[in-house]
Amino acid sequence: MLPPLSRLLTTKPPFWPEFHSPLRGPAITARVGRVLGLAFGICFVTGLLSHYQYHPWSWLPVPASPSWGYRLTQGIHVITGIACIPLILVKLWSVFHRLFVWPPVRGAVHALERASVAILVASSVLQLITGLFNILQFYPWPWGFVEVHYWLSYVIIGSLLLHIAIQLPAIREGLSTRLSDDRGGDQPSEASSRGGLSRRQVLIATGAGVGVVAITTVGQVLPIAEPIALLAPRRPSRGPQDLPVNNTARNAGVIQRATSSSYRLSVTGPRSLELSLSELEALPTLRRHLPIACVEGWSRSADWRGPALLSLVTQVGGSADSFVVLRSLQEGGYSVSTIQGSQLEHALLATHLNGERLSIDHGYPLRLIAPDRAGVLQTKWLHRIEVR
Amino acid sequence: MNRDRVVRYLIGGIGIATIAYGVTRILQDPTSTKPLGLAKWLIGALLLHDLLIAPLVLGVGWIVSRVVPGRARPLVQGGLITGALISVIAVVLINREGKTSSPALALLTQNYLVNLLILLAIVAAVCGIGYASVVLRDNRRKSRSPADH
Repeated sequence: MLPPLSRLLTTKPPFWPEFHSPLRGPAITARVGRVLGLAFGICFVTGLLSHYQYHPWSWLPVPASPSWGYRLTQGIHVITGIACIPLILVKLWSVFHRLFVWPPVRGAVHALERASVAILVASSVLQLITGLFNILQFYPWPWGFVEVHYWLSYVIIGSLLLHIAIQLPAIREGLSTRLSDDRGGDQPSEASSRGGLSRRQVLIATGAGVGVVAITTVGQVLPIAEPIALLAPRRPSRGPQDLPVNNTARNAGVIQRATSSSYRLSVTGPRSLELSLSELEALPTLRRHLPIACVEGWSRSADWRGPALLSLVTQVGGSADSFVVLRSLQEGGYSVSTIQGSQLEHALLATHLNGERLSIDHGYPLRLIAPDRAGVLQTKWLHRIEVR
Repeated sequence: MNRDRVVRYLIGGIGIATIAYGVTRILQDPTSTKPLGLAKWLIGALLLHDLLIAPLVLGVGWIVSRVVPGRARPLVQGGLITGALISVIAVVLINREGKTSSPALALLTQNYLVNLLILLAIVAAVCGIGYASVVLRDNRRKSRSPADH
């Protein structure tokens, strides 16, 4: 005879897994969760700022100052994202026993709660893994990274808010409980009496792991930390002309046209203009110290020299209020960018980098460089400028 | 309904709306978001943690709690936590080393296996020093209070 349903719901079947750890409990979960939640918030906001670089509203162009703005926000985005990987593992460890609560579903609200946790965990883990793979330029999935990374961030932040709303009383209780006397877990934390780690020591070990990961990756943004950047995907000082590139001339398929003697830059607007490389170099030049700040999180400052973009814009009848489209010899990819507002006023058409002529991978014969601008929008191998 | 409940319903409502927004936009652009492939990877991410990472951690924890003697155990456990968290990132880098398109990218140009071993050696050294200081402290206590024995 089958046992009555009510008994089945209150009694765990014998095969159901069960874990006992004196370390798990709301005190530790709430503390790790608070840091992870803040980190997710930082990633979301800096991610939106990065998205804005690519899709600004025409009435609110990305400002030119501070020139290191995007360098800072995207550096924070990527380093925080990397640090979230060890953090989320500890957070998930601290609640893993709750995956096996009995009965698995107590009712509609409980089912909804569990579903929201599943969405949060799945989307967060996937976002962090794919984010890390993206900065390594590794794409083993079928979808477009940018679109999914962007829209999935709304799913994550939404399910995080829902999670906080559901768990708020537990979060409050966890945070107000001292680590040593949390009884919300399986057992009180008198672990050290049995020779194990205490909850405080778990947090210290976690902080050490996350800290080492952050300190050994931040060198790809912060030159002073580059010598210890043992886990940084990039070592920005190792690039050609003392600056890495994110796309080579070979990959962009521009070598032949960029090095051809028939190269001309065409500038169109109310009037139009065609300039050879020697004519471009005869123009008055400016020098600026500006960073290349890549969406992949690395950045490095360099010395740039070349004519001001605005001087060519005014020569064809435009002004500082113009909307300017820059086109590369490259086809597809990030071959077109637009610039306006204060970035236009401060932009250079660089022919030289760190005292040398631009190398082909850095955009020879001519590239855009403007302050506070995402790296792939600093269009290389320029051949056409349209003033609107 | 008290204020606390109102706030929770409000936050939860915003959360559900934000999820719905994200999901809708993903579904509206299937040629670039590939919803079916994405769904598989989302489930895969859950399974990766719940069926692989978590059992592995529990297993190692179980072994350590039975094999390592009491006084050394917190340091071994702490060292394993820190070392594992560092290794998670390093293993990915080691795996992708040398698979980039050009040296001009300055991408993955380091020997990450050596770098990981350096970091793990530092963690092990710190734990070793910690263990030595625990042993010294215990010995000093013992020699100071011989009457207890």
